[in-house]
Amino acid sequence: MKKIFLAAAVLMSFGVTSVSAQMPSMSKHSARGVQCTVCHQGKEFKPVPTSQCVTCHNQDALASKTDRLNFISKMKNPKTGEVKEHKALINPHHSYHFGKTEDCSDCHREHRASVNDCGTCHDVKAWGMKDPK
Amino acid sequence: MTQVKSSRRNFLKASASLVAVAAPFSAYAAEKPKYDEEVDVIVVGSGVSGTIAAIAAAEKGSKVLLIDKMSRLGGTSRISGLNFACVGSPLQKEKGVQDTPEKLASDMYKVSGNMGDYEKALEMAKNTARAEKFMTERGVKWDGRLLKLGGHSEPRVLVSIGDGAGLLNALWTHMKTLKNLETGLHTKADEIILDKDGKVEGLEVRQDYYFDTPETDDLQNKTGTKKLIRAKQGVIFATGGYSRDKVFRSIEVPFLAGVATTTNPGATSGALKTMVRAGAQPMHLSLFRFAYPLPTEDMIWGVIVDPATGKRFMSEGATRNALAQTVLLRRMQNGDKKPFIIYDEKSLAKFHNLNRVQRSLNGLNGIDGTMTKFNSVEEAAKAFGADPAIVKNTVDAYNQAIKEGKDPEFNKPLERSGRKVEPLDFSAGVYAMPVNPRLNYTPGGIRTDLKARALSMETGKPIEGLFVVGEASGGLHGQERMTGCSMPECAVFGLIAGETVADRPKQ
Repeated sequence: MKKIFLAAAVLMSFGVTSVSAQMPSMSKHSARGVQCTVCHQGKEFKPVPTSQCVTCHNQDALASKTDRLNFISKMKNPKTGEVKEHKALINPHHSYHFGKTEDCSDCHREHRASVNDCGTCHDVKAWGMKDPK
Repeated sequence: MTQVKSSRRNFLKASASLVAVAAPFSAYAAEKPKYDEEVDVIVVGSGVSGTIAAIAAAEKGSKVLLIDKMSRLGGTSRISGLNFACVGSPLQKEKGVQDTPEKLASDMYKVSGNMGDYEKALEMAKNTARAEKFMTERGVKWDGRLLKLGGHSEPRVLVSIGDGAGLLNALWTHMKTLKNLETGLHTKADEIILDKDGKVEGLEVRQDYYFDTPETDDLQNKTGTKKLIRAKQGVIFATGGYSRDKVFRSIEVPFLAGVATTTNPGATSGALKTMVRAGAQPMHLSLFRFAYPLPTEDMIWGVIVDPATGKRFMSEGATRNALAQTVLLRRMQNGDKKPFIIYDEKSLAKFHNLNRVQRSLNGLNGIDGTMTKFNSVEEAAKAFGADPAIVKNTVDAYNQAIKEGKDPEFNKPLERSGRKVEPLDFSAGVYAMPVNPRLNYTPGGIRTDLKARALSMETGKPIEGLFVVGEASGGLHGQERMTGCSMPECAVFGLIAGETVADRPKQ
């Protein structure tokens, strides 16, 4: 316990002055050779807005890539036997609720594990949707 | 002299008691704040109440800034159905429905457990036709249905095309034509700035705010750049409820700890606390309203099982709130295992609305709203973590009792709306899903008057320049909010607040 505390204290004391200690431990883009300043433009390290992401990632292309997630929901009426169909628009890049207005960072996190924003309300497991990168 | 309560920490230090909350104005005089920006009206929150308030104020000539802390506009409204109880709509006239504002206000009061506000409900009801006209003239389209929903004495509920998203998209398209209305996403309202007389002067906000998770956001999120914005005519809080705030809601009502919700992830208690710090009175915070993926009146056809014991523990014919409380209390006692309900195909045929069953069977009915078809009761039991043999016995015993025309264990009524509860016949499969009520509305919020002005906790009088609309306000509905009555509250008081603030002198 003591050792852990000591280690943390040493790290913290470095953190005050050393830039490298402030570097995020995970950087998915830089792991693929993209430098920090490609996304973080300007003097400070601010969160990157979607308008910046789309200068490299084409939004429409992304949306059509995940169009395959949309599916036809079906149910047979137990009384009449009639089958009713309904198109489920669950493409996260072009969804029923939000169209194409979602921020990239609502799901995709650069410096930690990404989250599935649909999953805050929906049973995404039932859709067979993979976790966002 | 003006003072800014710029630091939450200072405030908390200084105000451990309610007295300090109620009289914060003269407590710490500071120098006149330097404002970074100046507008006439700031609207916080961009659901249906905030959007309508912003449009109404802008159309009366005010320079309006509409902000939202989230990455997108619309809050919970955007993912809601927004069923709209409206008295005197063109559709009611066309169909010759004899309705009055008094009838709607009485309907609302009847279910409120004597805790609703009849006078305010009446004010709301009187303005619903005006709000309908306002929205229709600005592009909102209704789908032509006129529904008589539960608790309503007349058919009066309108449904917009495309749900909440459709309604809001129409209003936002109109909003873009208003040059004196600007929107700012990723902008969080931290503090209300009051002058020495306790009148609202402006807001302390953070721009470039990036919302994180509901559990930690209000306390731990340090993102964004601080800005002071002067609001010459006033500030409207349309900040929604706090269904997502697990800590806050379970202090008020312990069994709400584990409840699910499908509201806007940003529905935390931060905005409520900001308003309380400015001296506004919160009320009815211990009240709650549940929603279910499938109608509660259709639970009566099935068997609800506690996975911990494999046995029944309640009548499936219980009312909406009783059902939720029994299920949630059971979860507090059984190691947080979610009870589940078992149906046969014949019971599905008894549902009023098969669309919702279809959504459940296809995974489109939200968290814990998915229904799965199994080959046997044992298989279903296993999937929900229960002992298959015990559950099989439970269901067999249930079927035997129902066959004999009784339910000695829980005495559930064996008939509803002319349809009989029958023994379950699994020859066409076993259908099962979790029973997990969702806390999708918090009736509590800031006390307001008929002009949507926030009332001071200390004096009971309006805090000048502070308006609270929609779910963020409290006291209208009481213990049970009638279905279709959140939308008219949002629309009407959003409209009234927008008009009233725009009539205030610019200070």
